[in-house]
Amino acid sequence: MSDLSPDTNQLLELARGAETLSDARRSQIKASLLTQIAAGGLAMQVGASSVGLGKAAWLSGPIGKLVSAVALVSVAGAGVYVGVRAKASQPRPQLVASASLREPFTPQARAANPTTSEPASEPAAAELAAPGLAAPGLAAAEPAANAAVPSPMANGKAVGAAARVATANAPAATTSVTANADTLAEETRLLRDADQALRAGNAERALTLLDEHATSYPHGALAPERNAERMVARCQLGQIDASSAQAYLAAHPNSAFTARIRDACAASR
Amino acid sequence: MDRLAPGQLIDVRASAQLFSAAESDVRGAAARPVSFESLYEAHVDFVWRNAQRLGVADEALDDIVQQVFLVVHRRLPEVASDVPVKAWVFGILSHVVRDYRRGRRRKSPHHSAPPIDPATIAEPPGKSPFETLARSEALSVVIDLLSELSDDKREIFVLSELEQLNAQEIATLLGVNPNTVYSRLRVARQDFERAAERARSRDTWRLR
Repeated sequence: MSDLSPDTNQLLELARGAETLSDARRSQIKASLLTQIAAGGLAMQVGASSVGLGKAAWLSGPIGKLVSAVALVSVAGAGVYVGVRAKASQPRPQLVASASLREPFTPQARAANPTTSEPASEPAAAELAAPGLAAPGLAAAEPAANAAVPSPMANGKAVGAAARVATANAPAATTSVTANADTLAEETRLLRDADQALRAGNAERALTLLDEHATSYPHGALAPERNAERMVARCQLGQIDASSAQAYLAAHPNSAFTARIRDACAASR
Repeated sequence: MDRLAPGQLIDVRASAQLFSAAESDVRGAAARPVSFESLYEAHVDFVWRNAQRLGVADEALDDIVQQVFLVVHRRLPEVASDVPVKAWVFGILSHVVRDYRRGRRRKSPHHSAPPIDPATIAEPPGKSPFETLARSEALSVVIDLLSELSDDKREIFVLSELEQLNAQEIATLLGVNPNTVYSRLRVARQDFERAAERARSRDTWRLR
């Protein structure tokens, strides 16, 4: 175009070809995004109480499992607010969750959203994935019926508490939910602690925790993640040579830990 | 308008299955329904690179992309079937980025475009490391120059000169008249060229 000089056009031509989202970063964004979505979805399911936690794995593969697990921890600890609707006319308690999700839209945009104008109906609870929309509607319509309880980081205590509240009204239906939630929360806690130890450079501690996980949950939902973490830990300790690491990666081509294992094992050489 | 009825459950699993096909094109006259995951895969690059071009700092890019897709996920069940998907996603991106930039301006009135870490940019296939670096530096300069444009002009300039969409496509994306696109684009190009000239003058002066 005549408005732009040849130099500027050349600059733009160069800039156009510059940015490509790397695969690693793309995976990282997706995993984090699904975690946040799953956090809302999981809270919704505990609230609905008629759906077993095992069915929460709408995501498939290791990331899906990890997402579900992390969702538990997120719901439990990461600045999540759990509000229990103990309204008599509402037989199933619902959870209003997650201050960890941000609502970028303006109030005008909210007002334009037809589903958010139905505060007392099911979708308000279903919108747990989007608490920025759900919470204001509920709070405005039924302030007395909602008891928002800030939950500190407490290793799954909030999930346990939420599940216990859920069982108060529908004990039979939610027994498996509670048990599965507790198990998954405990698995997640062990792996999270191991991961933190790894990142802090304490591979021995990480291995101890991973051994504990293997003993307690040999066929746990997070067994693949445990094995991957173990690879990273052992590479950090120099216990695994490059060819073994390569063989592991070849056997697990879609592992979400590929980059970490490769980095750890490359650094150990 | 094929919206869900108010009060209908919005379930993450259900919403992922509500639609079946992949991305519609930018005109989207006969926009096809999409699943969340296919929509994510089809648009994440578009969202990421344009978030960067619209002024999101590298360290905030991932968060902004997530915010955009969280809104996409939440609103997917209620979006009208005749809405062009790419335009809809860009509209969300535009809102999110404007909020972000307002927040940054409040925090730091002297903020300038952040440096781009070449390590975060994937090397395009068939390009040498030198060429990759030259391109990322060019992008850094362009982002710096873009910061001198208003939000409206910046969006149109990015869509036209970097995304290489034509005026009709941009009009669809932004929901404005094509004539408005032409006039804003002309002014945006003039502003950008002036900013580029100033930058070149500064560089020339420094090299003396």
